[in-house]
Amino acid sequence: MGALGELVKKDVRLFLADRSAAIISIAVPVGIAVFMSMVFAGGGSTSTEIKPIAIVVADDDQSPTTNAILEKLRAEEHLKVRVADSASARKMASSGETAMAVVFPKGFGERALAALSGANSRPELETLTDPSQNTTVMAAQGFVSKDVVSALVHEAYPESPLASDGDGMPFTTKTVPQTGKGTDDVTATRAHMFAGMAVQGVLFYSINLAMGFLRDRRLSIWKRIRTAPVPFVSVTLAKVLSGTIIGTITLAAVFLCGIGFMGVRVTGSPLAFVLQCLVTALMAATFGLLVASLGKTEDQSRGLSVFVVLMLSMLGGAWLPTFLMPQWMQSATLAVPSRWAIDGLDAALWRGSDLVGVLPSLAGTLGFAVLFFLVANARLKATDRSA
Amino acid sequence: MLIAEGLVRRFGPVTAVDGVSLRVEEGSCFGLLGPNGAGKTSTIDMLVGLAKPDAGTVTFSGKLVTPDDSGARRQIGYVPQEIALYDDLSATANLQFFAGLYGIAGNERERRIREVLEVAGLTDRARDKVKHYSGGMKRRLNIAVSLLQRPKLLVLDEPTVGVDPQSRNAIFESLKLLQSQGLTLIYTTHYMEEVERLCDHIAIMDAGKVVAEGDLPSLYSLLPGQNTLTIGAANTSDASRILARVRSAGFQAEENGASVEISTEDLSAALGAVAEANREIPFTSLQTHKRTLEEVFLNLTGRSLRD
Ligand SMILES: Nc1ncnc2c1ncn2[C@@H]1O[C@H](COP(=O)(O)OP(=O)(O)OP(=O)(O)O)[C@@H](O)[C@H]1O
Ligand SMILES: [Mg+2]
Repeated sequence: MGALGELVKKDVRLFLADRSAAIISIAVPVGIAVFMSMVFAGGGSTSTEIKPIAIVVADDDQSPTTNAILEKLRAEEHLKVRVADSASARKMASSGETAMAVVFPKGFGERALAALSGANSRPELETLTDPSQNTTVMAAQGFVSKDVVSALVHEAYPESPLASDGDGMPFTTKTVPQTGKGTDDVTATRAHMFAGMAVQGVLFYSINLAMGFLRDRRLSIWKRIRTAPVPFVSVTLAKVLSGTIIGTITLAAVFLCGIGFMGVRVTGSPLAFVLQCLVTALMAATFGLLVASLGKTEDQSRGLSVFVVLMLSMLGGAWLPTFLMPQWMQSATLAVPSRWAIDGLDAALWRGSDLVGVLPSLAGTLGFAVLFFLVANARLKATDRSA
Repeated sequence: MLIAEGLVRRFGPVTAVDGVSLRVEEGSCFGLLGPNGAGKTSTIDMLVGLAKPDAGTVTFSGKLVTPDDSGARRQIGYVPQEIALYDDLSATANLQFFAGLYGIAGNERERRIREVLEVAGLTDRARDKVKHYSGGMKRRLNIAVSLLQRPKLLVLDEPTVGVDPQSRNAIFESLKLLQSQGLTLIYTTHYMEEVERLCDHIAIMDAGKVVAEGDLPSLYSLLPGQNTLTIGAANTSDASRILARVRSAGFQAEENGASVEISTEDLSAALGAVAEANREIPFTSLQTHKRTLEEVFLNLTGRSLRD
């Protein structure tokens, strides 16, 4: 075994020697992932239970049509309808007491039916919304629109089979969540949480790697290594290799917990998943080396790098999936290495991607690893003889 | 064996080493003595190829020592000033790692590890983690690591900081033994007793420069007299009579209250004259005092070695 192997073996030995630190670096991501899974995807059960949205309806029209609409709204399982007069409905919406209030103005039923048979003027359906609950409002608006249209169709074409059968819509819908085989949206959410927390976990481990490097320098272990007949690049490569091995161990442990206890499954290509884990660990290791090359002392670098890792995790989508971010932010996070790593893991875990589908993420993650290594190696080499 | 010429090392505005030239003979112990911040470590860094000099060269057995060429460095063992060991690993694991860096493997590695543990007196504690060692044990292991490669030259940068006298003696005994087996030593310290005990050639550094250099006798000869005899008298009038006697015998002496201080190169001649005086005038005490490197340093720089 050459000097490179000795350096790698020593780092792995050091990792295993501090058993409590090793366990913490695995237990923390698992713990957070389990917690986040429970928050975002319910507890032990795998059924999707959506709480009905509470809305307030004011019927100033009091026509048979609006009565029919109200009936339909009341029957809607995702809505919880409360009827009030228009003045109090407005008050409740503006105070945020309800996410949405709907007001049917006088003459709504008659004019809507007329519009349906070609009349020019259309009645106005007023919805008053709480802007802090946009997603809820949008969902509620969908249900309301559907029920209004359905009731109108029923009134306008009482003979049509649409009216007597089904929800009165001239089409039916089928919802297919785009996840891999055997995954529902709950396990997909959990898989995403585990992917995110695993990546955050290896990035946090990479701070340890950087601190170890800086400590070696403070203790003159670096001097001892540099007086040995070992090429410079072996020293930096060894750090990356040992970091990759330890990172892979961490990722494996986190995902095994996810698979064992939280129903996480690799629904895509297993090879793609393993490769994505490896390049993710590699990227984290080179990131650690980069931190070491930029830092002077441990105290000075530790706080800053914790902050950077948290930012990388957040922007990479470890906490909230990137598709929930505004479009511009989604584009901006392409410059964040953890985004590529998490996307790749997501793809292989719950999107059911094959190797080709994961390739862009693999390449992106690997690209960052190469970039980090080149920069870190050059910087460390430049400061080596002048420090 | 090792020749350094005109070494300069700067850190921004600070010139840590300012034109140092040294010549270390094979089999000798070369002492580099100087107070904190004198530039000892900076000099050593260049001697072992850890740092590039801003000016000057280092050659070892005729070969240039540079940071980029490991040829000469293989034969130079280096003991850093700090304890450069992995606290969480055992002594054996530390030794295995550092031996591996020199390409020493297999049975040969095990043999050398046993050998250096023996020298360091740590055979019994080899399996313990270094963090459970005492300061002195760590220091001994710190030295042992650099012996694994069987160097021709061993460079030690303040290897006894924080070590009790017993451990220090053990370290000195080992170093003397190694030297008798042909190892050349460069020994850096700010304890003058250490170089007086161990070294045959000494350079005294201050503020980046070598202010004096030579073997012990030649360094002592920089002082007015090597030895001091202090005679205690019953009273000042006795002291004056002793002073007159000693001076008339041709010795340099000063009166200091009720005592007389004689400075001399030739201790036995001075003792003769003193015995003569003692026949007539009673002494209350008699002390001899050997001059130290501390005083040499004080004399050269006007400052104390330990500040
Ligand atoms: N990396 C560095 N950056 C800036 N200045 C430095 C550096 N290393 C040493 N110096 C400065 O160079 C001078 C000599 O330091 P050096 O460590 O060589 O002294 P020393 O004789 O070994 O001291 P000590 O007995 O305390 O170890 C000091 O003024 C020190 O502050
Ligand atoms: Mg020093």
